[in-house]
Amino acid sequence: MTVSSQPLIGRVRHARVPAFVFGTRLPESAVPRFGSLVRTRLRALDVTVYGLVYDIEVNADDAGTTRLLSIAEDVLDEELEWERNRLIPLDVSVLCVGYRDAAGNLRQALPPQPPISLDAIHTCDAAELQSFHSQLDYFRLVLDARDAPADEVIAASIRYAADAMEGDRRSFILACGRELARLLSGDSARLEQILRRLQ
Amino acid sequence: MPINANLLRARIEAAAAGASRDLVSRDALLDRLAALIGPGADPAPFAVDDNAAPISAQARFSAGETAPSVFDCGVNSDIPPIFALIAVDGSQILPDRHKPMMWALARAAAVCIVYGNGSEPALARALAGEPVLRFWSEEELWTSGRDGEPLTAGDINTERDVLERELLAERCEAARGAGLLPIALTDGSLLPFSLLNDRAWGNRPDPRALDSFRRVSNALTRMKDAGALVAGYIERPNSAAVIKACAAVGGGRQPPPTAFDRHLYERVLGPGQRGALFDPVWRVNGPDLLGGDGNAIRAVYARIEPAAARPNTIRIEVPEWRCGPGDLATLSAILARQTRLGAGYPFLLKAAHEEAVLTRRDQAELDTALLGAMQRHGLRFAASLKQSAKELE
Repeated sequence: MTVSSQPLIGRVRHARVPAFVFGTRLPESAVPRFGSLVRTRLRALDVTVYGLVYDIEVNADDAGTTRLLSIAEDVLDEELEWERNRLIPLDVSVLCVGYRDAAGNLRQALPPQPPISLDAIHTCDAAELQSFHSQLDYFRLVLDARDAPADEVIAASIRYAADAMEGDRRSFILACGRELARLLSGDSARLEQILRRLQ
Repeated sequence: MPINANLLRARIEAAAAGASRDLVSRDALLDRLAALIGPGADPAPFAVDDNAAPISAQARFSAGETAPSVFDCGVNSDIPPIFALIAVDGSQILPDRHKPMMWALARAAAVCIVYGNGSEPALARALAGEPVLRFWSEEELWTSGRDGEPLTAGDINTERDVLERELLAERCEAARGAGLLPIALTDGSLLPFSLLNDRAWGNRPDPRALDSFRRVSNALTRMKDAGALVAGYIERPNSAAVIKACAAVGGGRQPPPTAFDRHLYERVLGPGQRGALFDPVWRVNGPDLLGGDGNAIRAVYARIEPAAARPNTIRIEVPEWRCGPGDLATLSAILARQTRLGAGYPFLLKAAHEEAVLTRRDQAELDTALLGAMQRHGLRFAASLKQSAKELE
């Protein structure tokens, strides 16, 4: 599959095989969404790693001007607008949910290596989302994740991907529901909670 | 291991007692010198003799305002209706020879708020531009150094300062290109610290200082051509140029090395007032250097804080081509507003610091990235045993 040239949105700060954090400074309108799919590349192995955004934290190191304006008197509109539209420094946490190997095969399993510091992070376009969600094996990785709010992440990722399924939204969500029912057959309460979030 | 403060108690007590003892005589001296530049004092002793050579690092009140003068700072009506306020700051990571590979990094970053033109955050972001990075590999550190030594911390700090001024010039040009008046601020002196030291300009000037000088002077010329108002904002300045000038006029014993101009002006200025503009008489300001390019720097002390705030005497540096009373009124009014917004320190300089700062986390991430790149190229380096042992702590 050809990987599209989606814009660079950040660079890896630190990483483990199951998860990584990337730093970014983006206008509010471009902040990645919880549950969205992003990708990076392991250059040494020619592997593309996919992950789901599971946490977004405003970097407190850079919040000084916000604090100052919040207590200042006589703040002008220009100053408030400037602060609101500042490139917000964010730390974005990502759960690894699959990779595409050098031969182009998609594997919804943990990648062979973590990304390297400062590797580039890109969003995925609709074609990549559709291609990635042609399999749903990644559900198990998310449901078993310990550091992430797994049920929220999986529901958000399904909703996010469903928007990219032109015309097939309903059938895609039904397929996801069936896969979740199979994986959570012994935990009907948890299944119900996730399914409610898909409605 | 924690320090046993008891071992130093006697030294600490002696230092406090000495400071207390010196304070009385220092205050008496400062009071006497302050009377020389206070309102109503005789300006004649400070009159500049154009035939006499300026005395190094001794303020010369030759910029059209007599020494014993106090002026009101600007007020809101002195602020132009439309302008782009731009601030720069920089940060650096110095080389560590105990790391697997030596490297260094300097970063300069700018921020901008466009005032009076409606809210245009996208324009402000465009005018701020992108941060500038300067990376030195191990090889570059050694080949750029002197006497068989790598680049020093001072060299890297100077390069960071120069990058900041060049970025500021570029951003002023961008603002002018957008039809806006650029008003530019630096944190600290307008000149890199290394250029202020007269030793850099002996019989055989240091080629590195000459190169930095040319780049900074070129940046100042670009700001001038962009029609910018430019100011260096110096918090807690430790210069004594005016004290030395007063001591030369007033005679008597020399002021101690811990007496600074700000101590003098604390006695002269009230809130919202500034002293007279002066030439700091640095060698770099001379006619063969900045003066020859029309970029000599002038300075003034001011208390721009409101009456109720804690007294804070700051120093403002301006280039000779925009240092008239109207320019100083505009700059002091803008700085007063910025310091109110920033809880005592200019808000936009604080924002520039946030953009520029390089943290320990940045350093660790770059270390990791470098190690990864080295491994991809089949290189194997290790930290020194000292570094490895420290990391075990």
